[in-house]
Amino acid sequence: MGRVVFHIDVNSAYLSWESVWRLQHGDTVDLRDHPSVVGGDEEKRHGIVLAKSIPAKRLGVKTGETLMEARQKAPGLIMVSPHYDLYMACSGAMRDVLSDYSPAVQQFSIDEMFLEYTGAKALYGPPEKAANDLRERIKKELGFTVNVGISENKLLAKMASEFQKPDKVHTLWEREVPHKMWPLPIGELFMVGMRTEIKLRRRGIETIGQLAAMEPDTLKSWFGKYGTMLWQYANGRECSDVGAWTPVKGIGNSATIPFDVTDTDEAERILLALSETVALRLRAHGSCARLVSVYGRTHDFRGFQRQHMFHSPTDHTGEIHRRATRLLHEVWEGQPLRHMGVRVSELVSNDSWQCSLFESERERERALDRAVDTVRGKYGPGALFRSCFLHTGIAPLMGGVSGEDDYPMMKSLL
Amino acid sequence: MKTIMRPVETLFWMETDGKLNPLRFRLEGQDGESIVIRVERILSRTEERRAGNPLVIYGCQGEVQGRMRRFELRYEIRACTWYLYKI
Repeated sequence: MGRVVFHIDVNSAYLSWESVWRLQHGDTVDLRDHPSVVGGDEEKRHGIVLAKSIPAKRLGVKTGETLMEARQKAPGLIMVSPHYDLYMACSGAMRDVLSDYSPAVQQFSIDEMFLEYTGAKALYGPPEKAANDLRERIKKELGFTVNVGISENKLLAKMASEFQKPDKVHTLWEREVPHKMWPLPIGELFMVGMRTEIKLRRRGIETIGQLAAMEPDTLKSWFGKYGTMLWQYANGRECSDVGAWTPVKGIGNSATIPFDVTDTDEAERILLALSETVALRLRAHGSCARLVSVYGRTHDFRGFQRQHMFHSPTDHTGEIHRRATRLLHEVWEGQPLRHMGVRVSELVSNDSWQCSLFESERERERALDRAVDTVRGKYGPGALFRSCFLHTGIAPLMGGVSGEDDYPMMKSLL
Repeated sequence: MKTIMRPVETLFWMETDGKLNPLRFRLEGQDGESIVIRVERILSRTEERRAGNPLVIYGCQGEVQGRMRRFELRYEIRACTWYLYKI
């Protein structure tokens, strides 16, 4: 037998974890058995459904819709706020269990992991038996259910775990691709998003099998390298290692604001709060950035983005914020904003930088940034903040989730 | 036994290997009065980590208002908190 990879995917992760935690703490209601959702705080007007229970799904509640829309479909809906520190603990506990089976475990997102099972067959037996033991063990020890997908590579293992849920083990070996994967709708293929699906359907490609049967050069002419990748994936071809390290290409933070932002000072303050978080992470990463971009969404969901290349790489909060503010004013005409973000990319190491004739204050600014980072590192992010945030209701550091910089967001690359 | 899951002030002693043993705890009544219940015997000790949250569960026996009763104490390791789970 050749290579074997598992993909482990927690069923309704946020909801399951929330439910198990509550049961552990004496609650008699299992959220999973009732119409329930995990979402933001409805009082603050920035709530969307992050996760839903199966009974809620049956009533038509969808992930991503507002809490108000969800409640209209299910009047007795139970709503709970997310607790990201709990989710990280659950994810960590699952990772610990998986590590008993193999040293090669890759966290793909907060609720998905890959495991290289190839070397473990001699210890734990045939893959399907081991996957079922693993599934049962997680259910018994940690209290929540998972789906396990098994195949020769990560892509197919991930596709397999998406078959019938919950609490199941599925295989999608390469030899099974024609009868298990090719009949599926094209939108089910990993990396095919809504827009690509529309484009493919317009060209008469309805199933993964039809995509696999295309000439790869045709797909390349339509979509470039992405098209080649899609063809490979449609044919079940993917060969990355479990645990492969992907370099950080950029660091960004964004926030959905609980009120419509129309005031210039408020918008600039929010950008400053986002820039503080981004710059803190950038310095912690040991990098400087050459490119900064600002993006936002208005109250009617229209998006915009603007970017700028620095003359020399920077990691200074003030410089990132100043440029972000200028970018915002280039494109924003005062329409109400509900979502804003700052992102830096084109990263280089910060152990040397090119001096510019125009930047005499550089060393002082760097020293200030480092001093602030040290204080925050020792006493917490809230220990030191700029006075312009006092009595404004705006958090001095914004973006991300509960200040946990290590929260593993979903990656798009295997 | 009824599930109540209430945080309680607890006296315990710790062995050299880090194992905790509850000695007695104070239970606040609904009328504001509190009673101290002594743990006469630890009948069972198990660990669980549901939701990735490690807990130690003690099945105990002690005298409550003149009667020997069973109850369950839980120690939440991360929060360093004792709970009276069931009595």
